[in-house]
Amino acid sequence: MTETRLDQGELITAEIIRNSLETVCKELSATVENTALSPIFTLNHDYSCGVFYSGDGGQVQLLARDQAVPVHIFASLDSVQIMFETFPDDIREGDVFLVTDPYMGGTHCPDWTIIRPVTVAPGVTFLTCVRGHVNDVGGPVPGNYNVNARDVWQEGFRIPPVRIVSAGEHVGDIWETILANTRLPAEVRGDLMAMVGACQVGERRIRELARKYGVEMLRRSVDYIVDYSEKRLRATIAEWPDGSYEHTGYVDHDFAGNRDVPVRVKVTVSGEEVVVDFDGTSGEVPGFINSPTGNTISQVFTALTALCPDIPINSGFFRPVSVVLHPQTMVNPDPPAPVGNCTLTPGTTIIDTVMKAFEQIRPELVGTAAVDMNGARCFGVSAATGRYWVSSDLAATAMSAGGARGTDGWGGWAATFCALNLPPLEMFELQFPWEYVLDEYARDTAAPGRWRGAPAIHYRRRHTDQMRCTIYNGGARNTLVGYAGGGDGAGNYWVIREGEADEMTVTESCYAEPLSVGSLLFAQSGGGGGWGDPFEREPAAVLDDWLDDIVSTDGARRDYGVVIDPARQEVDLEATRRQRAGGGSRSPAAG
Amino acid sequence: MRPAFAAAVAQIREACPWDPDPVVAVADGEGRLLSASDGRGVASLESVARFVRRSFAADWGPGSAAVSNDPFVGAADICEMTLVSAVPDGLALARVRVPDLGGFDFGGVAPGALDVWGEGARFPALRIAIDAGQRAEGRALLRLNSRTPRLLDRALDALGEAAACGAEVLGERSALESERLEAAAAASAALGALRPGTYAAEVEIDVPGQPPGPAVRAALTVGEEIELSFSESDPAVERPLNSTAPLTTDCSLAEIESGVAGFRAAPGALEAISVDAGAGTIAGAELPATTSLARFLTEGAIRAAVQDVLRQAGGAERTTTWWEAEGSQAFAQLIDPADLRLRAERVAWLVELEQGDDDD
Amino acid sequence: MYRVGIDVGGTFTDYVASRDGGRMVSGKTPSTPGRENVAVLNAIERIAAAYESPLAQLLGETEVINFGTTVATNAMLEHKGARVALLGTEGFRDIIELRRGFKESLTDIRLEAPPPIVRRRFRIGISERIGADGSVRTPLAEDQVLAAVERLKGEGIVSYAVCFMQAPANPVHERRCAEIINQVHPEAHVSLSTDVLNQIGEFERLSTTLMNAYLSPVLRDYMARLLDELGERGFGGRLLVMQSNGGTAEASELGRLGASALLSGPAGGVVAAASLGSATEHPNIIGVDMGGTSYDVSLVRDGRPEVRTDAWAARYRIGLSVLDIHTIGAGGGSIAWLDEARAIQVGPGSAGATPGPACYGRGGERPTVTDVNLVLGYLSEENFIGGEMALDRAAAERAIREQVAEPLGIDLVEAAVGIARIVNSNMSNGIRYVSVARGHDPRDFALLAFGGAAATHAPIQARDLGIRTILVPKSAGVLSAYGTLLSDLKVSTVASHLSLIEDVDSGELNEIFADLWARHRHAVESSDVTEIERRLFFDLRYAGQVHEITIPLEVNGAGIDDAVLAAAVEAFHEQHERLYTFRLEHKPVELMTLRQDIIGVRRKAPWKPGRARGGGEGVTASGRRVAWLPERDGDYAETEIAVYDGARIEPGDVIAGPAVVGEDNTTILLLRGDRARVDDRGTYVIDVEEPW
Repeated sequence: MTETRLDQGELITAEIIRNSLETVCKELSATVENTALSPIFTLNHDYSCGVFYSGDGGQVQLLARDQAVPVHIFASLDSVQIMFETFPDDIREGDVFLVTDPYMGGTHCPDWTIIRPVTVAPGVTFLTCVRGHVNDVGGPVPGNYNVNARDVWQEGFRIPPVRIVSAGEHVGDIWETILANTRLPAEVRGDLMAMVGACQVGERRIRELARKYGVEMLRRSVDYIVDYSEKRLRATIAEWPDGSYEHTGYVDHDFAGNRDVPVRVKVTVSGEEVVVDFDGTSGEVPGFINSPTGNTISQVFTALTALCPDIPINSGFFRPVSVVLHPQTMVNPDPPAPVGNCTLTPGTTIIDTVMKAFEQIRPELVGTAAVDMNGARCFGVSAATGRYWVSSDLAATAMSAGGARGTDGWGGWAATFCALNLPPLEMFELQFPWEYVLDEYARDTAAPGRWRGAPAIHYRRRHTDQMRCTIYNGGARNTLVGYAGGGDGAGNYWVIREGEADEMTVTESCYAEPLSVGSLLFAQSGGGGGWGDPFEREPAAVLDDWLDDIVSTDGARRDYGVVIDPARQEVDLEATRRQRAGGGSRSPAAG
Repeated sequence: MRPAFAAAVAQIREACPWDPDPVVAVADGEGRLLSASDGRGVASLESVARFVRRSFAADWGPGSAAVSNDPFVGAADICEMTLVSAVPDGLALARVRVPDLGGFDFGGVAPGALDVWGEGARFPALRIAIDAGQRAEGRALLRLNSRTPRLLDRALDALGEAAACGAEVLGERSALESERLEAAAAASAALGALRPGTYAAEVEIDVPGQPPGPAVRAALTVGEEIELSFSESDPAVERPLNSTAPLTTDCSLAEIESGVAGFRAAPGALEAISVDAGAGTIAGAELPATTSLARFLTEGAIRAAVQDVLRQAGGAERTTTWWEAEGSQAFAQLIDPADLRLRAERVAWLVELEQGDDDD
Repeated sequence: MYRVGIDVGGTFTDYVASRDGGRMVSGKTPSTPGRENVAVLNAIERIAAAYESPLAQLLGETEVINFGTTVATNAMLEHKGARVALLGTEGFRDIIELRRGFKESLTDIRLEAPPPIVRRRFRIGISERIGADGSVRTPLAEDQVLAAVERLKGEGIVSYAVCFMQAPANPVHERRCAEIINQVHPEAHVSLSTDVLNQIGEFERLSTTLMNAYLSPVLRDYMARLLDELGERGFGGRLLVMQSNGGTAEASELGRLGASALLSGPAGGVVAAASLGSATEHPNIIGVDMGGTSYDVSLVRDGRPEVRTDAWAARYRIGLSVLDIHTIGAGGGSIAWLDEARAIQVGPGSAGATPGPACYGRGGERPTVTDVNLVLGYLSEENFIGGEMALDRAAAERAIREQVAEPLGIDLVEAAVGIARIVNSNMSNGIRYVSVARGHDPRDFALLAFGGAAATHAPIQARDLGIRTILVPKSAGVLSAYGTLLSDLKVSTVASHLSLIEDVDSGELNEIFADLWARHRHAVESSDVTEIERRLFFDLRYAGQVHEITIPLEVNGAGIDDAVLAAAVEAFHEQHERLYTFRLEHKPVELMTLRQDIIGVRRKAPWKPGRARGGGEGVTASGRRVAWLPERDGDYAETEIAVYDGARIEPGDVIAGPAVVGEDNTTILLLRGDRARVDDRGTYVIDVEEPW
């Protein structure tokens, strides 16, 4: 670690610059959100913004980020680096670049990274960057979640670093080529414009900073900014007990017939540094759950940010942590292994497994930081307009918040993924051919704990047009885990054509299943794990949950050892004491 | 065939042994086709040339080159790649099949594809050279979307070299123009011999091993104008049987050449007859229809229907159809659903070729 | 006749009064948290004393008392609203907890849920359903409503929120539900989502409706009590309350639409900023209001305060039109501290009024912004708050030295300068957030500094942002109270109307606007209203976007026609490009929401006319002292500055920096190159030298 020598006045300037860069990222985010066209951007907020830096052709560094979907921004670092290396001496003012390939710092094909280099002096380049999930990037399957994929070409169009704006002018044939490879060219064009526009907004501010503080001060501040985060993380790690801590988690299946695929992690803390070694993790798998390194490392850091939520995220945060990924494993595949579902599975399992290892170090800090969002993509041609549409409805998969020391799980996803927004149901009813019937917590589905997880959501909708439906589900058997003695989450499953003769329960996947007018689609999205022994939960809190119809009388007794007198709406304290002393049946939440 | 064309075709064939039928052609600066090595692609080559020219209105000059594989621009299917290169006084075109451009399955032939993107990546007009220099980004985009990037490179290089013949051919510009006029006149005279009237024919697409597919319907009107229309054909389908307008026009011309004495499917022929492929039908499919088997199966039906109306109008009597003579055999070589072995062998051969380059 | 404006703040209750549109009095009296009325009556007593009038006589001759109050804000922050039940569509009880996935921290898995306005047990699902097209898909189960209300009535519920899915497309079920509640439980408050926020988007509508149900009974009771107490003392005039949208409304209106009082407190200041800006020929104003705990930034464009419709308040989403006030935790009492990496941080923690900054000598030991301003020589030890309080410089130095300077190994002044730079930068970023980030160039604005502390920092923000004019009214300390008297009666109405602009039937739009006008104009009719204005707006977006831009319509007598539509679309393209750098001409433009502001323009108390003494540059300083002032390069230099006594500064006087002017309730800092001239209304108009 190189100590940047700044006097106290300069330190304060550097701190001011750090705050300003964070503000720049917020401006980028606001621009994208307000201007993009695809619901996945505007309603779900599936994009992230950052400011990067390269001095004297050195390694690209992340300086600041905002509203980041965790899997985006760590991996973007590789994308930006590769873009920067691809065009070493050929970047002009007003250029904008795009790179998407999963094996070039990407995660999966639909995550696009837009980069605008802002060179403020020779060899001093800032890069404003947006990575967002576009709704369709061609390939065999609308929406790109191809449960049958066996190579990466079956997952969508791949884009190496290309210049999409040259000195302020759109590069026409590159745009047309890109837009020829999406089923939704009008939306994607709008989304691209939004991302490019955001990067331009960011550029203005970077140039203002350079004018105001001078390039030299800016350079020195950059070093300070990353050192600052590094210092803080090192200080935190130094307080953790040295040693090695292991855990193995399992992915339900790989969409190619392999079940309970292991993710093995060994976390070694020594002094101010941490090594996260994935030795023992499954080799590359045939199905689309291989996780390119950018994705894997992102998931590791997602767990770490949840452990240290108040340290600013930048490249300095990455320095004290080494992630060891062995070649040709599921967490470090070679092209052309398919990777389409990596952000969800094994992403969820990676985060949970790393967390479980840290549970042995700092139990009071851990909890569910994963998103086990289980996807469905529906698509069809509107009977009314003749237009083709593709949808992803995150309302069906809204849950994964878990309990943590001091608080029950609440809201939708765990905090680290809450940059993703849930769609407004009323708006979706206008945009897509269905009507919601149910979107509500289900009784006795919260993972028990001294602080319980959020309950599962039950979701049901009725279709008003025909469509096809592809589902890629995980977390039906290996549900989100509990911590410090808390129970596991209820898990996820789907039912298509509910109530019809050919009703089908989907715990793994289905492909392009036809759904007719009037058909029902049901989903359970399970919450995160509980924290702490449920038999230590305050009886009053259990009674509150009972009054709120979160737990039943039986559930209170079984999961929490709390005996409730339904007639008097009270806890029977004596019976509760006996029940708890007896240990009860301690089963996890019903699925 | 012009010697320069012949040499160029041979050159491509040698570099791309998987495609025995490459084509080269030249067009004027606007994309109007002047001469081609083979009559098979007159309409589609012109369609590609004009589209590329339109796409690069400014900033296009000698040393520029762009490729197109988009069925909705002029390719028969995703794996048919045409290079358009700017040469002095016009455009040189070269076309060859490439082994793979991603999609559902190797080689763009994807019976399970739901739409064109399931067959592979579309490149309507992507520039791969500017000012005689390679444009690395264009090449990188193409390579990354192919399972056989090295064979693709080989094909692109071969097309580039072959296109150089265009300068030589365009040197005889006045001869080309008069040949074009002659071809138009000959076509006009040949078609003038047909009996005036309106003739209709219907042919169902023959899918080996499956019930007959949707119907292609041709209507030939011989009067002051001569028009061939497919607009009554069945609508496009989910299976990859859809032919696009350029392909339908090309195989109509080829069939007329077989059935009408004196007619040559050469540049200029289209001045004597207008072909309406029928937008939205299986003969004039539009985005995002799948097309990968049209070049074999649907082409057979289109040619049979054209053969039928020509016979009614007094064209030559023939006893075998193109499908019987050539198409079915070509199809079997490419993919036979009943016998996947052939296809597997072909893929294995291509993969070996791709990897064989390792030794270079 | 008297007109009285009162702003009840957390620390002080400010008042302004005018008699017959003439002589004004103003001042501050300590607030009495939890018993706001005590301070209000104290303020009125002080006014009576100032006019040398018996209280009853003054109240008897008072035509209007206009309030800004933090009662609603405090009820939200302290969770002391009414006991609410929700009647919603069966199957959608948890929309309010899901919050569309929003959490305030993106990384903190230990963040707790917001306290519920209504617990799940009181969120009742009713069988009913309206389709997106407005059709009745499932009829309202009236028996379920009846049974629920009968039960809830017995459980102490006093306020009902009713929010059904797709109700804006057809409010029939909500209306019927209200009828049933009124029959069964007539004394209860009822908030229908289609009355509170008639706009599509179930979470935003529900959250706003719940807040309204939570706050309205509190405000109704509070206003009734206050009116009683004032009435007992002889008041027979009208009681008006500032609303979050910058307008004012009858107190009784807030009993119905309590959520509209959320920003009642700071709203007066923004209105005053707009008015003062127009009066000084600065229609574009960035208003900065700095008190003890926070720094509130607002923006006035073309004389009109900016509003937004997507704010959060006390962790609930509010979709009503509210003034766009951006608050950061940077007040005079904000505490400076060192984080784990030993970087200086300021705020958001505040020493508040007790113990207050170290220099208040009330036991505060942590260094605050006020301590820094004292140590750097901006504040006067003896003349703080009009001489009512002396400051303890030694205590301020000790706090800074022990908690910042020594741990960092730097000297006292370096530490103070460091804190000052950080907090100034935070303020400048706060201003950027409402200006640059929304596409406005701060250089097109004048900076209006008010509240006790803003004028001490304003020259630095002006330089950071390239602003060339700073305005500081002599009444900066009580500007919010003054603003209440400048506000117009205002009701903001909305109607959802989703349609592509190209498909719009302008006749239908005119009917909707006419209907809103007919239903709401009575709310702004009043004896002191001289005219009623209508302002029409479209919320427009490119089809597919979900964030709209509100575009004002230029409508003449004929109402909306093709020319108006075309102009709106063009204005939208332009605004989109200005805000976000691009336009999408190929995309159809979509109309989402119709808005109509109905404004009853009131007679105003004029700005106090002053007489130009013509003093010019002749005014003499009352003293000199040494201060540390920022220089262009970011360093601070020890500088001798002139000190002026604000009580002796009159219109026409000109003061050149570097200097400080101690006004009763604020201290104005002038840097080298700044030149302040006091205008006829008693406003310091400060020309700032070249930006840094």
